[in-house]
Amino acid sequence: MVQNLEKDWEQLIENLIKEGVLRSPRVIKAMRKVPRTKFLPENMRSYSAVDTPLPIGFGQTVSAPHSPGLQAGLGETWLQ
Amino acid sequence: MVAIMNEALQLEVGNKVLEVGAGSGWHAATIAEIVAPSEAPRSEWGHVYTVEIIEGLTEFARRNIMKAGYGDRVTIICGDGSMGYPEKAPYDRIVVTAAAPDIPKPLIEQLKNGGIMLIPVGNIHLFQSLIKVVKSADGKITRENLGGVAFVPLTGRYGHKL
Repeated sequence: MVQNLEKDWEQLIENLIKEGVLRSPRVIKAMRKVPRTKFLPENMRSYSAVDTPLPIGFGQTVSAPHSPGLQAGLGETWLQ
Repeated sequence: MVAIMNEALQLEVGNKVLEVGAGSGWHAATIAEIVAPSEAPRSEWGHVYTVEIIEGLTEFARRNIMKAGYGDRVTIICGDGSMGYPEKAPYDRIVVTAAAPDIPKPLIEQLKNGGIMLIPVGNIHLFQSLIKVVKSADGKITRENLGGVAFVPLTGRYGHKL
């Protein structure tokens, strides 16, 4: 599958705006300007725009961009 | 989480920010783009100091931040961020990206009057509460619970003992 990571990232931003997570113009601008892709280990890059934490080695994760759509079952709880 | 936290931090151009837990460096770079926007004059730029306790991750974050073009707005330090980074204190904003057993006292001390801190606090075997700490102009502390979150544990002197 050929992925268009830039298009996927933009789609994610639009979803976060629609859900009301992203509100301020400068936060939105920064999310557009700094996609998560460049900060992932190579084998994780294709998951960049998937709204979930991802492993970065050393037992640690990089945060999810974040959609409250993920709050499943825990009331107001978000995954990182 | 990065979107939620960056909104709740009410970041402003020119802010000096401390991040505890650099991880991949992504969160620090998004903060840098808000407090030191690429198109703004450098004289108005704020700065992000991010402390990472894991040596290998410090290098990973540093490489990522340099490659993304934020090396001039983000300083990455390898050390125990649970004690903050007193060398550049006080900070307009502090963001902790790992779950702490309680709010470390040094972090409260290193927050400017009028500053905001976000920190996940609680048990590491369940989810934690994202706490927004506001220090008023006269130094009074108020806390607000923004909801449940799930982070990796904060380690170091004021972190969880693993």
